Amino acid sequence: MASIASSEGDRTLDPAMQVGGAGVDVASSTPLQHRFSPYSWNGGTVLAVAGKDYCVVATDKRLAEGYSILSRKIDRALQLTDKTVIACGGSHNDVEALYNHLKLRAVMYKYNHEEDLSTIGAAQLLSNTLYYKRFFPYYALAVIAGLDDDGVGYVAGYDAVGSYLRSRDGYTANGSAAAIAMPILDNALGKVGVSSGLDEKPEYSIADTIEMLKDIFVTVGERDILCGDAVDIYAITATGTEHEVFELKAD
Amino acid sequence: MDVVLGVTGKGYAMVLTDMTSNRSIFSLKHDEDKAAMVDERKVLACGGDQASRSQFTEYVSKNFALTALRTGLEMSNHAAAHFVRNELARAIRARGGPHQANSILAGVDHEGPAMYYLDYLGTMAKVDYAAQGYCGYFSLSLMDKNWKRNMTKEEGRDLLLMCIDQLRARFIINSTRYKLIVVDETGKSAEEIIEP
Amino acid sequence: MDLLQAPPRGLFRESHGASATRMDMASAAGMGHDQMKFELPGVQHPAEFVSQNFSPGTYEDNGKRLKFSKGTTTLAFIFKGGVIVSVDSRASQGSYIGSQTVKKVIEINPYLLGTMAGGAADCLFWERNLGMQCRMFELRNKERISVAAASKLLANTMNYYKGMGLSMGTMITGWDKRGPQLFYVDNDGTRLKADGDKPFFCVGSGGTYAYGVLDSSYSFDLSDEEAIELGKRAIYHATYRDAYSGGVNNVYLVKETGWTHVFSGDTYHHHDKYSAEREAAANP
Repeated sequence: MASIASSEGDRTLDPAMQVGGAGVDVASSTPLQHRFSPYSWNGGTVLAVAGKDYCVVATDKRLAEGYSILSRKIDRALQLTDKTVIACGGSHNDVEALYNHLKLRAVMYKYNHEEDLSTIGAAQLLSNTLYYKRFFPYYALAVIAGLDDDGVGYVAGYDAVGSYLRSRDGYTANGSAAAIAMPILDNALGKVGVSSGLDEKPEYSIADTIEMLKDIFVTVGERDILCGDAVDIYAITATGTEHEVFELKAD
Repeated sequence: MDVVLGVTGKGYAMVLTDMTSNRSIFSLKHDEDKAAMVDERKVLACGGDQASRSQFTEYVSKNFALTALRTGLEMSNHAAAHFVRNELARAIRARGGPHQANSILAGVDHEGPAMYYLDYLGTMAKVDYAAQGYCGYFSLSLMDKNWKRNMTKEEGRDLLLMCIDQLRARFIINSTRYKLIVVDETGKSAEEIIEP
Repeated sequence: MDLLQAPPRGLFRESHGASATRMDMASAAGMGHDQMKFELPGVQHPAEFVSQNFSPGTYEDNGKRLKFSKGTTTLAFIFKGGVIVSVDSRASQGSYIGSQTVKKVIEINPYLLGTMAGGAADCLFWERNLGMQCRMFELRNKERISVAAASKLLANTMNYYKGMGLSMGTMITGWDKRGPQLFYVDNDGTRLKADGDKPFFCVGSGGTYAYGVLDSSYSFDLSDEEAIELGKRAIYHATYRDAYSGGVNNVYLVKETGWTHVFSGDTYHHHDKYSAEREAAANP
């Protein structure tokens, strides 16, 4: 749909935008058509894996538009509480707007309730926040990762208008390279859903999981032009969240 | 594509509707009521999408009931028809948009039977017999040719059955069930499901 | 007594971005949607813009990644023992399978179920909203809401947002004073009651195939076991023919005491079972 495609393409291809330009007779041309294209597609890949008592979420730091790389070090992830992290691909302006809103809501929740918002609560809040903009969506493809009330890893993926589901297999991917990364995760971790018919799947430690996610990002970076530069990795455990940056190829 | 037909006769009015409810390529229901009693002695047969149809029919019947409570009188056919027309005409200029409902209002009052053709734009015509939508292309000529003033109920029913036969022979949409409702001075005097 | 008038916790009333606070309060009233304020794009015809850009199409992925999951087979039927609800679990975004483990039966409360077809977020949000409205009814009236009334609340919501591009094809089922009940409600505002000699609905892209099985094998006098089996079989045949349907088959049984989740199994295992039967029947 033209109005969601990159604004670059619209501007050059849409004849309506050239009304009044060289060689166009304004008086006799077709009626002026206005387009409203408030979205851009800045890429962003998010992967998350949950374990028995941990959760890891990783997202790349490349900001791209069309064929241009605009930044190699943006933050796509939001540390909402001590044990909840949200990360989004999509239109980065909307992602920022969404984060500002969520940060505000998390702070207000803490003032009102004198405790942090739980991961499950944050998941529903994110869903509702996205849905309240059902008729003018945030172009944000979100993943939420954290620990649930029992300290078990929790991951859920969202669409742009807030449909979400806690992953039964404890992993999810969203954003630019989700369709490339997901089969790799399915093969390594799928027990109930995709690849459930395959061999018994091992239980990975948090260190192994981080290594696996790094490997996947290295692989995906070779196949998706929007993915690369570096990866933000957040490892969430009961004792807190550890953050590291893993460098990828900058090509 | 709904079939909505009506005929008046000696002391009665009758309407006939099909009973299917379709969405995209599905036929979801074969026992849908498209004609409802909106008053003791008035029936409203309605074509259009299910949501508008039921909302409109309920709105009309509830308002008739309210008027009866307020005045203690049953509305005349004339008054009722103009009330319905007014609501359709109001809606077409209102923010919520028109009621997507094309209807036939039939009733019996102190002046005898009456029938009104109403479309969603608020067009209204007092008629002796009526058809809504495509089914009219197949049945109105039959009714023009065979309708007589003061037909008996049997003759009226036969005329509508003749219309069904014609629809089944020439109309691409073939309904399997129809409902016939007859109203006379006692109220709803007969209701019949016709499966030709 | 109007719970609406209670001030929100804390003095702060945020008004940033989405109008969550207003929305929550309107919902708590369990009534008119006139108080709800969803932000609209600043164009001349918002409804047209919204339905052109942000509504899920069934067979084409209109608009790249703003697209929501779609493509489904869901069915429900009334029989002697109650209501059977049987669904698949695939969510596809274009030709990409987004998930194979979607819960398409939404447990509105212990005695009401809703199914999910069309936009996942639309179904999820409004059926959750319906759950709240039903609870409000219960608190106000000291009795459970009928399925007819519950389904009408949802149909009213759909009517209110008609033409705005919502996408939802749902079946609301439950057991009330009038016995087992089943209603179909969709985003056009259509609301149909399942009754007569064929008290069932199939919704979604695989629905045509499911209807084929149900129309030919349904009987009101099925035992519970036979009914569950029929539900499974109809979904199996739909997942076999419809590429947009698949994954896990979930079956629910609604009784006077409420619903139970009676079966959850990979359609892969259905294939093992039914394909052998079909082979035997086709090659006597």
